[in-house]
Amino acid sequence: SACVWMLSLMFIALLVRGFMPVKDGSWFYGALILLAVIVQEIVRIMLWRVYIKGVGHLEQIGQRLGCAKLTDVDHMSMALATGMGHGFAHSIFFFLGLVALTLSPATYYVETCSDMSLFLYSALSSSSMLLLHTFGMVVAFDGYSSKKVARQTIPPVTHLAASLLTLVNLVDEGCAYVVPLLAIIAVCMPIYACKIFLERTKESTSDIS
Amino acid sequence: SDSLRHSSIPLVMLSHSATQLARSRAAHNMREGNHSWPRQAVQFDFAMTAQEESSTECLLQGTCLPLGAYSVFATLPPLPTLPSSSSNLPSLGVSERESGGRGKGVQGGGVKRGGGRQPVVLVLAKMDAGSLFHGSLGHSGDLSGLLVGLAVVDVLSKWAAIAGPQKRTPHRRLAFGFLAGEDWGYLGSRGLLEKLKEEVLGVHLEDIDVILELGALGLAHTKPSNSSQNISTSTEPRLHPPSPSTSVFLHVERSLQSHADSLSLLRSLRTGAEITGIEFRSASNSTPGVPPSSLTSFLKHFKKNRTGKNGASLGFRSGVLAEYDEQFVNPYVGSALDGVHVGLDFNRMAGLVLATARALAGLAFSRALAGEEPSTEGLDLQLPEVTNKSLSDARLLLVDLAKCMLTEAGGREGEDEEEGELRRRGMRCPLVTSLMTPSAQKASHYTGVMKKLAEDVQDPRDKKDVARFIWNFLANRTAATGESGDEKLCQGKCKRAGEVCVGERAGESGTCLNATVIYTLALSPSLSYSYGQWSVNSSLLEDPLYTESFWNVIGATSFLMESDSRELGVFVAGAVITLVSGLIAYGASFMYSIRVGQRQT
Repeated sequence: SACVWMLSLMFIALLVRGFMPVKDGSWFYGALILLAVIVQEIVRIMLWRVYIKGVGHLEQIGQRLGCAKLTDVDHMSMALATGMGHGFAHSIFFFLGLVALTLSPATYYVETCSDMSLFLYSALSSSSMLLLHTFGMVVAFDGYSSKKVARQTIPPVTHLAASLLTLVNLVDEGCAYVVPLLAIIAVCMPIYACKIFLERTKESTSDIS
Repeated sequence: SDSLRHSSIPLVMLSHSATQLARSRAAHNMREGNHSWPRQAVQFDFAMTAQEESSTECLLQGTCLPLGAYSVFATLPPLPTLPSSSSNLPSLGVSERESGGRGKGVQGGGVKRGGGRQPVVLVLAKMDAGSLFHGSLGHSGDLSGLLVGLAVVDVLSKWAAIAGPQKRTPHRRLAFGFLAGEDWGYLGSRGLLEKLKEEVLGVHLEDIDVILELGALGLAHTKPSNSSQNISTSTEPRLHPPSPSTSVFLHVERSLQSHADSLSLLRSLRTGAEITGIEFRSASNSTPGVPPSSLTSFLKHFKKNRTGKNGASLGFRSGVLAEYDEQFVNPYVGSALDGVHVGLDFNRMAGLVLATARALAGLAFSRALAGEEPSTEGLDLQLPEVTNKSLSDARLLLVDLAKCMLTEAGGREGEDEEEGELRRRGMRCPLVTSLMTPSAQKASHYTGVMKKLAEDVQDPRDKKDVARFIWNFLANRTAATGESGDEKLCQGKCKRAGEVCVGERAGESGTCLNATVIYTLALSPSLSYSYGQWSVNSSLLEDPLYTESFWNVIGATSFLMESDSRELGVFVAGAVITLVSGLIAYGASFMYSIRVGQRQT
């Protein structure tokens, strides 16, 4: 999953390469974010299709060998792992490059954000997005399998909202608002995923097939 | 050096752009206030291998290298070549020679003439400077002597014209010593002195009867003299001097008995100097004598070995030519600001070059002994002429030399600021590249360290750019004009004794010319080298011994820095978050397994 998401990010970067260097204007960043989120959500759906087919085949093989059928909770675990791949890919892409620099005694502040250094901001926003993507995948996969529209749309919408929220960084001292809001949005997702889990495990019989 | 220990203030010399960056960052700190974070900081990396030892100790431990370089020594006219069949003579003519120049005109400067030896006029100048920082230019003011010396050699290169149609043989030979390491314990002059005690290039220490040192002669800060102009006695039409009469002072040793001899040196200098606009004057009586200079190394030796009886004249005259009298006139002397525009007045220097060249030509050919009036009457001598053309030629050469050796490549100094000429700045200028290929664009005036004692002192490959340029320049200018006219291309050595390979560049051969130029070692005489190790003979240690420690990476880095409390706070907060999320994850996983277990029951 991490590999797939990494490739998706590189693909988006390729698409945008033609528009570089960026002229001033937050509208460009907004369009870029929109494009990136749309591409990623399409990838999410495609990933689900591949996942469900592949897991289905493996399940059949497993059943012939006498293994038990996969429960919905098993699928949620796998969705959690898939989500982690998504989150880690983003963290690596957006934050890992800065980690090596943190070993030196120096720091760096962006002009529009004098409250926290670039490193601190990146760490905080990256951890929020990690939470968001990890548990967003749980919600989305559950939505695809149970065909519940709300669960299908909430991950993409929050993804888009969180991403567009980062545009506020372009405003002076905007980062002071972005970081806590991102954290709040991000924490909502695990809570929602937890709710789904508790729901699922209340039912006595559950099958995904 | 022992005297530079215990200084704990870090000093870094910044380039132009780095200075502006440093200033803007300091201004940022000032704007934000003294107690606000983050703030701009500088970190110095000065790790040196030698740890607070003395020079002798660190040499023994192998953590440092001694300062040393090579001086260049040449004679004019050059010693004649010998047929290559005389194989027992090295090509440099170090050993004694028979008088080989019978009536050969310009080349007739044989060492022995009728049983006596030929006296020698020695001209000295510094070729590097004691800059504190490796890459800095050194003092243009001090190095003005080098420029004047090289330009004088250039004027005297028309030796045949001076000797006249009868090709007079000179009474004295001229020798030029461009000395390295003078600011670090007079390494160059002491090295040359040691070499001259044995004979080198047919010159022995005992032959020298005039020493003239070219000190700081930039002349940019001297005031025109108020004294009335000497009335020229020549019948030449009176030339308008290039500038109001400029005084140049001759500093002589006062304690020697030959004070009168030194005054006669002044008279020799004044010969033919009037029309150049230069007035040679004796330094005032309030000065104690000779300023610290290369000459003092020679005077020390001569005081010991040449004291005459009852103050008899020794026939030895010496002095230091300088732009200053009782105190330095250049307010920037010795500093990084002592640049081309500040210290050098090329117009006046051109006049000085011609005046000095005329005086040296007179000294070479005149037969006067010390005490007598030097006279070139009766000799069909053509002293180098002083015309507008010759003055402007000298001036152009001085400007070129300054551009090549004293200008920072791409820097702000220089007479003409043309964008297209940037690549040919510094040592890549045409004057230099026509004679040798420099290894760097900017000439370094730091003496440098001596890694080991080379087996072949004359090998040009381990010499610095400035030394190699001076060697080639002197060889080119002092070379006897071709006799046979066949161009002998060479790489490295020339076959005939008395010839050297001049103008060898990367990818291009040089030419074998009959010139008498060598490198001499400028190194503390207390040092010896064997099996990869330097050792010090402390009984020979007269002056401070300078060494440079090995170092790894040296520099200063400037960056923005957080306060310690903030960094600690962020770290603690991050650790807490990690711990808490770990606990939550553990708790969640615990609840998960309970929940799943419940469902299955």
